[in-house]
Amino acid sequence: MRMLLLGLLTFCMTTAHADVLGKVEAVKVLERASQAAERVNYSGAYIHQYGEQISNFKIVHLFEGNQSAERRESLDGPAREYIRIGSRVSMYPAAGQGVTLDRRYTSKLFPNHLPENVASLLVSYSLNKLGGDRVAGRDATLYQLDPVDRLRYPQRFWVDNETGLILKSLMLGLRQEMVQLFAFSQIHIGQEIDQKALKATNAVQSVVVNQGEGIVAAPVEASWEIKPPVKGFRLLKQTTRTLPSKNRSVIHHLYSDGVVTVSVFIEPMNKQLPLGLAHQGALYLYTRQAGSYLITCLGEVPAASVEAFANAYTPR
Amino acid sequence: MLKASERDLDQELVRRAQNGDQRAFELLVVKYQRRIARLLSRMIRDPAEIEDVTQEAFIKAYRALPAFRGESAFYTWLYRIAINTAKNYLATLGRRPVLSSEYEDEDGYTLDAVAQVADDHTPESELSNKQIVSTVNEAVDALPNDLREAITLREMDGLSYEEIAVAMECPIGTVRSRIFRAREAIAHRLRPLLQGVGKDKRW
Amino acid sequence: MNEKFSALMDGELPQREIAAVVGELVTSKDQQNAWYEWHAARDALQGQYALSPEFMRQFSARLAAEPIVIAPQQWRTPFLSKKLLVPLSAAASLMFVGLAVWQFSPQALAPQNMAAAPTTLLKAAEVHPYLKMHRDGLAGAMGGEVLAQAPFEVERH
Repeated sequence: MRMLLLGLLTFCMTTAHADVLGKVEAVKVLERASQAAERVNYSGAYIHQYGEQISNFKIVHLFEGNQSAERRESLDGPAREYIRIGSRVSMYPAAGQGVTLDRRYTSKLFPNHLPENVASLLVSYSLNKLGGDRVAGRDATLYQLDPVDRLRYPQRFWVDNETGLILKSLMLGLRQEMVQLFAFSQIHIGQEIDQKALKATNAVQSVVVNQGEGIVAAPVEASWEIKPPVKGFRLLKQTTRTLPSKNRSVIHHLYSDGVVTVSVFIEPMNKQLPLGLAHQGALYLYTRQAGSYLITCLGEVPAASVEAFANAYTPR
Repeated sequence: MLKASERDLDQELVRRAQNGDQRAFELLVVKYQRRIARLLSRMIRDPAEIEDVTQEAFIKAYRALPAFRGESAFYTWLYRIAINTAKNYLATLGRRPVLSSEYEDEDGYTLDAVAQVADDHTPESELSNKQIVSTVNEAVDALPNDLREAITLREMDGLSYEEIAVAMECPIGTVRSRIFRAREAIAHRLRPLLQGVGKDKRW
Repeated sequence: MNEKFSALMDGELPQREIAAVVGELVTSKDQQNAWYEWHAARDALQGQYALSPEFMRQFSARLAAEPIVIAPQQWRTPFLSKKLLVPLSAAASLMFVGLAVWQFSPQALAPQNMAAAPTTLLKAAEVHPYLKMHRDGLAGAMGGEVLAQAPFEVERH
């Protein structure tokens, strides 16, 4: 088995020959990629890089009968394993008491990065074909999702020429720097996958998968007037939770435009976080006081975006 | 010497190879294989050994790619690795160069081991090598005058397109087109000699 | 038009076109064959050493057996860097200083008072809970963050 020598990756391909796709063709490309992630049998290994953290995973995926199944296992760091058969999921280490996973999470792990409704992506991005490239020894075509505004970052993905499967997926910042990367380091596509490959190697335990309420356009809060913050973003989740390792309860609104997520938090005013704008790499954070409340907005989006989100909330 | 723009080509292939594309590295090997072999043939005598050490040198270069940061031209870096590979090879066999003197190859690189001419190819490879060389020469001779002149000025005299345009008193676009057509014509004759066993094979 | 591959080989393509054409070359078997043939002709004309026809085939096999190399390269914008990041605007930005400390300047101060502005040091631990909730929320369309950061935890009832 080939072991991958790892290091930090950067990305510097030019966009000299970007070819903008018309809507119909763009939808075709995206749908093909979306379906391939569900229907193609493959096995291999992929890396995930965010900032300076790099992790390697082994993966097996197959589509049989009418459902897909997959198993992922960490190849470095602490032992982690994830098995999904249809919509039944088990994991190691076990999820904590009462923890559930959202179906929109379990069905959207790499390489299944595209939303079900690909046409909705084209509200926020245009699709450009950048050229040919090779990933994990396979011929691929590189596409870029270019934001229609300056309120989100470009997204690149490499699509396997033969099957349409996404082989590599890269989020770029506003200065073309790498923000997050998923990439197959090796992959075998299309062959028979032995059911044994789906067997757990750790003591996995099953997890409840929440079917989710579906995507709604906008959150509803009794005490808040919430304007639509940024075009193309829809609400994925609305919860009230205890902030991890703190004693404070916050309202959490999680938005997505199909590619990235943005979070807005509402809590009673406190002085723990200073007000204003901050960034760490491509991640922006903005806090403002609204009446007697603190609004915090955070996401891998440019500054103008987190400000627009935070400013969309007004206490009634 | 390498032109700046040829360095750009090499840099792009190196960059892709450093990002996991082995095929990009193979394209660099295709480009430099015989040049490196020629370099090593001045230090090693036996043709089979020359080929082995040349392969070894490219593998060593591949493994060392993470350390290549583009401060020098790729070929310069490759050249040094090839020399060191050959020296280590000779050392492990306990061989020493017969004579010690300074040599310069046509690019001005200095060799500090003597050239030993490799003159005993095996009959089969000798024949096919001879065939390739004579086929290329015949193909060039058979070209229309303007194509022959363009390809000769490019490959044997190393002129740039601009220089060739001046020499042949034609636009650069014409130079580019003539060189391309010459290459296609020569390749057409070479193809049967170079073809692999299966239709699907590369190289 | 395949003429561009010939120009590429001669180093005569404009710099801005090189990446795209190389991209086509690495994904086209026909063009790679042409690359091989054209270089065979060039080497014959230049009197380079005549390698056996088997050379590239054998080398390909050897290379395929090598672990794929991926090279460490410089980051443009270090994430979670220990160095000071440049603030977006002097008056209204927060800066990350190392992993442990936040430094900020109050939003309301006019620029000319910046030098005299009191600074308060905060623990980055104040930001991380929001970041964790954001990450764990759904992992969005990207997926994988939760898997990448143990423990698994998405939602409590």
